[in-house]
Amino acid sequence: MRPLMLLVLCSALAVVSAPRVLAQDKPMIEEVKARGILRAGVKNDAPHLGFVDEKGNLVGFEIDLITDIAKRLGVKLELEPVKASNRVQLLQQKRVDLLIATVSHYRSRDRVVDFTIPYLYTPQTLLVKKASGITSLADLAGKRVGVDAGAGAVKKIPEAQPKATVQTFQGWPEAFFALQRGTVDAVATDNILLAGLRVAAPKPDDYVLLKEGSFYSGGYYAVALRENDSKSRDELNFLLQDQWKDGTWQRAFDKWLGKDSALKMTLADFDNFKMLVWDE
Amino acid sequence: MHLDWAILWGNPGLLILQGLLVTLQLSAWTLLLAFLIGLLVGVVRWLGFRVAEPFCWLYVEVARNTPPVVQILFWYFSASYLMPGWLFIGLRDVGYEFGAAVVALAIYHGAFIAEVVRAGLNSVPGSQFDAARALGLRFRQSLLRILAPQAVRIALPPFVNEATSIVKNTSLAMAIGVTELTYQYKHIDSFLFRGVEALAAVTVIYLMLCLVIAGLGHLLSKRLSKHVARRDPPLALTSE
Repeated sequence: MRPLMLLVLCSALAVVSAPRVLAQDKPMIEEVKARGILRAGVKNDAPHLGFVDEKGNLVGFEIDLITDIAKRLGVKLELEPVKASNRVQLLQQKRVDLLIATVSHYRSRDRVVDFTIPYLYTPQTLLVKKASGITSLADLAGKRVGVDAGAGAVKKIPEAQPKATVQTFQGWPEAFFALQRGTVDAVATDNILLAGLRVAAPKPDDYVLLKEGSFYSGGYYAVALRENDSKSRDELNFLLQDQWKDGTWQRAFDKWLGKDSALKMTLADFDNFKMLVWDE
Repeated sequence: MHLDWAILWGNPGLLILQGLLVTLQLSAWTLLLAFLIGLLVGVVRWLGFRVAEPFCWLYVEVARNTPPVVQILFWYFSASYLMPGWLFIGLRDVGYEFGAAVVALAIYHGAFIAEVVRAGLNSVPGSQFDAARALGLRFRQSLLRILAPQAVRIALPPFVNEATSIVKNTSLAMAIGVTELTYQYKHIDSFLFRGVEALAAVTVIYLMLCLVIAGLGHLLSKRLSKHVARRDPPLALTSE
């Protein structure tokens, strides 16, 4: 190899592999209080959790929780819509202070960012036609299940029920349309998405969500923070618990997912979620 | 940002290797099919068969002038209009993603290869063909022994270009859930939060694949042009 090429390659390699020297950071929560603004990474395309309503406002269950947290901290709130593909990068580059954006707490992710206690458990389940008689994962043997081409269900359904056939679709509306036409027997994803599809159907009562015991997977949604910032994590944990104790959490739940919402879901639909609450 | 390259030796690395295997299979099948399509259509267009030529022209223009990702989505999601419903559903039951990606990419790249083949054949002066025929060679002989060897030499570099472009375009198959390299990158990014490391690895792998193909093409090209170089020494040697 010519020396010049070697030089170019080596310098490229050096740039890529150079270790970053990180200054000891102030806890995020102190920076936020000093700045007077909390910048939260949120979803703008997750129905009922973080989405844009008819008036163009960013609203939802997660938005209500974080708005209340900002109020308790006494700071202004700035919402930054994030995508699954850029949310961690935005957090690590300090463009946002935290993520409350349907991030499930996994061990593998915990090696990259830190998480608070979960604020919701979201089971992944199946939407079927009531007349089909499917009531459990076992009934899915030999049936067709529709999923989104990019979703985790592509891998998880064959693990939960190897005898089911997975058909992928461009998006959830297409998968649900296939269920209506009968080309698939079930649609698999997060229960909130499924409840939303069901409510939007011409005859919602023709469809049912499989209940507890037939969840094929699920995730604990938690607020994601940068690594090694236990002061901020403590403070957010306490605030989340305060929200649970004084009913703020329940109000947000009722408004967006529960009895006051179109979805009319109950805590049983969320595997009887109960927040961890620590004594004083 | 904390980058941890060691994760590439763990589970994410295995996912990337699985993706590489799918990318290689996808590229190989696509290249084979695209080459066959391109050869057929290119020769037909060069010969100018009055009946078949317009269809080949239409095919080349449609396939070349629509985005490959749209064609992939078409063959996976919308092709039910072209094939009977039961066949479409049945295909999708057996994991039609891979097949749809191969068909779509082969149709897309087949059009380019057809033009490469046609250009190669056109670049040999027609008088050579006439001369071969006048010398008593049969049609097939004139084509295979006089025209083809010269055309192949000229068509090889653009064909190698197409081959590298096939490897790169296999990444579009992630749109329909084919678990190739780019899909695995996205999976690692969204589930393990190790997108930067995975993307760097995937980029290097694509780069190496394409460089290897380009290198092989270069070697082959040199080999095919050996006698040309002997007969036609470079200017630097003759100018003395």
